[in-house]
Amino acid sequence: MSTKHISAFLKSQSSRARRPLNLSIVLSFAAGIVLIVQMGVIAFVVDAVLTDKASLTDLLFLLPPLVILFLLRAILSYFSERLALNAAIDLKHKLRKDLLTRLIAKGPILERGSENAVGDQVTMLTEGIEAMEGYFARYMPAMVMTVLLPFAILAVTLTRDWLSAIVMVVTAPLIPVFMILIGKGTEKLNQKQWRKLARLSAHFLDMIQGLTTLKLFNASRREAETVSRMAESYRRTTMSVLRVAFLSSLVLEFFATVSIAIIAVLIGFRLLYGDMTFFDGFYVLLLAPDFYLPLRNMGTHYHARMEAVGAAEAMVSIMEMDDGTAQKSASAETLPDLAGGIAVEFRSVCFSYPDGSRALEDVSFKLDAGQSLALVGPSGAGKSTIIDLILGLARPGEGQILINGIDLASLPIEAWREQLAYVPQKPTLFSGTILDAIRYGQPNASLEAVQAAARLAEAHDFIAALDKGYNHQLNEKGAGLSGGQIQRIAIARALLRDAPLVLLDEPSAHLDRNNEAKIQTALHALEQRSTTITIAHRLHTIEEADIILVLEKGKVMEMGSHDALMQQNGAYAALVRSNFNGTSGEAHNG
Amino acid sequence: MAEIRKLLGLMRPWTGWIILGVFLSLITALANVTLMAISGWFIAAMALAGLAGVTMNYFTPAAIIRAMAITRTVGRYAERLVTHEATLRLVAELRRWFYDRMEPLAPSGLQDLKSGDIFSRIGADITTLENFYLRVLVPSLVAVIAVPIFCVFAGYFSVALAVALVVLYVFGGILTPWLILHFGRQAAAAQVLQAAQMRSTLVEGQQALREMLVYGRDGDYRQMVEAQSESLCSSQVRLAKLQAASQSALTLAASLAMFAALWLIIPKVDDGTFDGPILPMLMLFAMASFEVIVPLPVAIRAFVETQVAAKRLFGLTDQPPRGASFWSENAISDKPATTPTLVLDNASLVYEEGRKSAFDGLSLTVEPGERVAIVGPSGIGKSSIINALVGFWPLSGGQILIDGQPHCCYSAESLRAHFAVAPQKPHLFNSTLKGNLLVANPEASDAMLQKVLDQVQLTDFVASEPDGLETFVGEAGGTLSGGQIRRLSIARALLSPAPILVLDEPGEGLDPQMEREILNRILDDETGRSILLITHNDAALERMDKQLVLSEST
Repeated sequence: MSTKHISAFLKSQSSRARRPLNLSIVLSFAAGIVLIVQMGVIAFVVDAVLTDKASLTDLLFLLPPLVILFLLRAILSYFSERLALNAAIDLKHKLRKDLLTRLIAKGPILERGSENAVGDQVTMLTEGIEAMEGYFARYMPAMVMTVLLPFAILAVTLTRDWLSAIVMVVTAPLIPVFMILIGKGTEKLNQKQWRKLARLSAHFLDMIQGLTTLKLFNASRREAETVSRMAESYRRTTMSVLRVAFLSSLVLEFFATVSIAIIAVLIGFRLLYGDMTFFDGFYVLLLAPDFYLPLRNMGTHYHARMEAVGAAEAMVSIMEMDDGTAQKSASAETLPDLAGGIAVEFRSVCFSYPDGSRALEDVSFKLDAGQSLALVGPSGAGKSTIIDLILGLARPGEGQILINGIDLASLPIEAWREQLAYVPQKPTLFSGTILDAIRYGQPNASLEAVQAAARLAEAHDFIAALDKGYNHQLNEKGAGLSGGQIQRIAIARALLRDAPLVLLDEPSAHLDRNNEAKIQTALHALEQRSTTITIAHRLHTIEEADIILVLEKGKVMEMGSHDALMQQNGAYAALVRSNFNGTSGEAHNG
Repeated sequence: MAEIRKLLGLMRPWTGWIILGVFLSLITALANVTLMAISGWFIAAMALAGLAGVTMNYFTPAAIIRAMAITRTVGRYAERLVTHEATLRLVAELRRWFYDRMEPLAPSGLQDLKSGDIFSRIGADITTLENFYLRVLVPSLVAVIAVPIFCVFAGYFSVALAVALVVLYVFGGILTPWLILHFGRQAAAAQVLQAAQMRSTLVEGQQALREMLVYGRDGDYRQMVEAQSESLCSSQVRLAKLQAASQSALTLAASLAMFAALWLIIPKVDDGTFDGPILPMLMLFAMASFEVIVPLPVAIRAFVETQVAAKRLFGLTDQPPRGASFWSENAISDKPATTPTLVLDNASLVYEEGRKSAFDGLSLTVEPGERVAIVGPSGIGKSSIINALVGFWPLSGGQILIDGQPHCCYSAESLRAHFAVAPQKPHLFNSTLKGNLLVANPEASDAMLQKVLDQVQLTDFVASEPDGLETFVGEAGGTLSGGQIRRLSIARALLSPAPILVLDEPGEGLDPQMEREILNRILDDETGRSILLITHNDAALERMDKQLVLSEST
């Protein structure tokens, strides 16, 4: 991504705090003016003492104003600094909010083959955002100050000594030119550094979450070497960025020092030969370092800018990403009355991943309210994609999904999702109590309702047996519970919703035969009331379904009831024969 | 303070670097002060010589000015290079140091922490420690050395000026930092914790976006992050206020130092004690000497942040491991050469004092090459057996014997080398299919990879992917289905050279036919290894040599 593009993004961000930043600049400029006056007073005092032999009492009238100038400058720079920092903090907060909103809108659908990881995103939202502070609080005001204050000093210098002013005019522009020349190379370096940091972070998170697996295979020692190697490589990249930054500071400082020396030499000799008053010479010399200071500081600030540009690369691509998911839906229509149940129809639905690979091709089916649909087919056949489309996590590339005859794309997505209950393949339980986990989708549900749902899901007994019962604290990802227990809590969570459309992904996969029979009963009760779409692996579930959709490589191979499809003696019949050996009794038990 | 002492202990190997950094920084500061002082003197001397119409030797002072200007410029460059190089090296080493101490704790010692929190520690907290050397140690040492030198110099001319400077140094270098510590300690510490908390929320939230969106809780998540971001901001605002105030205070102190020089030296110039040029010299000296004081308020804030970060790091690394304790000396550390006999002798495991045991009084013998099934309903501690076998958790009773030796006689690594585990909740790394398999056996040949993929019926899938084995699986295997993840995890265990194969619920997420086929294939192919099958269903049970049925009462 080009730096120009990223710079434009950063500028548009900082323009959201234009007012406080401008005020900060004004105050800072005022402090600079106070400094110019203050230096004049000091030069006058020293001149009086040295050339006119003035005594302290002669100068007493000047000393209180001098202290007042000191105080005034301190106060002005305090408010200037505070405004700039507060503006930066505010901007960071806003940017973080915006990025998070975008990331949520983008949803969980992974781009296949991409290395995009949560570790990256988290680093962007924390360290990446913090890296903006230098840009917002320092670089932006400094850019303006670099122009303002030197001009003011130059104007004063011109009234005292035109030769020094000429030196300033000639040397000052060289500094930014040098810096830009050096800066050219650092852009790429900074972006590289941030990409490395993102990769390092993502790797660390993955490593932490997989540490048990690494240990199981005695691979954790090897991983230690990887940690060393990545940390070392990040250090080297960071250092190469810093080396350039320090070098540019060196060059800037060198030029500033040489320029001040030239001014000093010219003044010194004119003083020695009596061609200049001491006041003029001393005053200009006191001002000269402050003339070059904003320019010298620009080196540091330029580094802050480069850092921000490096960190912002990932942000720009997220802010500019087309959030093609249902979040964008027109939402013109309110949710229709779904009291009579939900009918789902797919009309020639196609879906492709962002990398172009096809997940669904021309899928059509019609499911009436209260009916159940079983999705059958090998891994990667597109079963999960159908569920994702109904969940509104992805939108069909072509074709339509109709809910009671209305296009899903035009429905308000959040209200739509409230009509759904969903049991995923790998349920995630958030840290909190089991009670919170079950009422995740219904935060206001009563304890009685939660217990009833848990009973139906055959989860009540094991929960009650826990020391703290429903107040048992789950740690991350429900660790501490078995896979089957997590699954049953997820079913209870879905049951509690009492939703007219139920989406199940291999609901009986984790359950032992004893529980599965009970769960089947509970799910059966659910199916009576609701329209159900199930990714099914168990013959029992499949047989019971009103419609079976046999998918392969994103295409519908066959569709119909169990009996009809068996009679048809096609792909489904072959699948049943090979997968379940005709011994449906065993499959019933799982 | 204990954290800081410990941190200093860790920095001991870097003493040379630290001394060099402090030395360069000191030289730079002294050169700058000298440059300012001499310049002030020089320009006034030239002017007075001009007024008096006499000549003066301007070569010596001009040479000193040149030398100081070069020393200052080059010194600053060298100082930055050295201090940053040193601190970044230290940080890189610390990450490895932290990993080496965290690794033995997993999984039992880390189970109470969110992964996002550990992530903050190895990432941001260690980065915070960067500042300890750069912003705390170097500036404080430089100030401690330079301030006496400045006082002696000022005192040579005027004791009163030296006293005035000491007062101002104390105001800027001790009182201001103390006030920052007083008013900002909480915010500086909170800031580190708030950022870590936000990171944890983000990790958990971003990894669970799917269910969050489906259950309509994304708004809550966003609000939670916003609230955390806001409290982080409010700490930052507080610190910004203090930073701005301390900066102004330091500028004011430097100006007042110059003022003190005017006030105290003018009478001495008047009465002829000093030549005129001494006045601008001491004035500029007094102002410039504050260069070593200015970083101190920043140092104190960095100090607090370092302390909190160090506390978080050491709080984790200083934990005693909760896993089985192994013999540290004379432990058997050989890799298993043959398939051993495995005996569980009345073994039991309780995760937490007072909690129900995960399993109790479990006795089982697995002869070399034997196939044993452990059968029982979900949630009665079948998976906990694996935690006990590989030493992740200590037994609370009974023992586990491998070839007659208690399992704690082995080194942790040697013990784990006995078991090839396909766990119930496998983790796939955000790497390629191949990378994930090689975790179990980095030396595996492509032919071996093909074989295990064939055993779990993934050959067709791999062949259908354009990148084959180099296909990225996404975070936590996100681009794969549950069944594919399960099979890849089984393949990984098969690839491991360990002599006892442990399959925990291998059928989860698979259809029964495939489960049976894969198990049959494994049972056909595996001849030398013992197999421990943990399951709740009856697939392939008829082919097992032995069954251990666990029931609720066990």
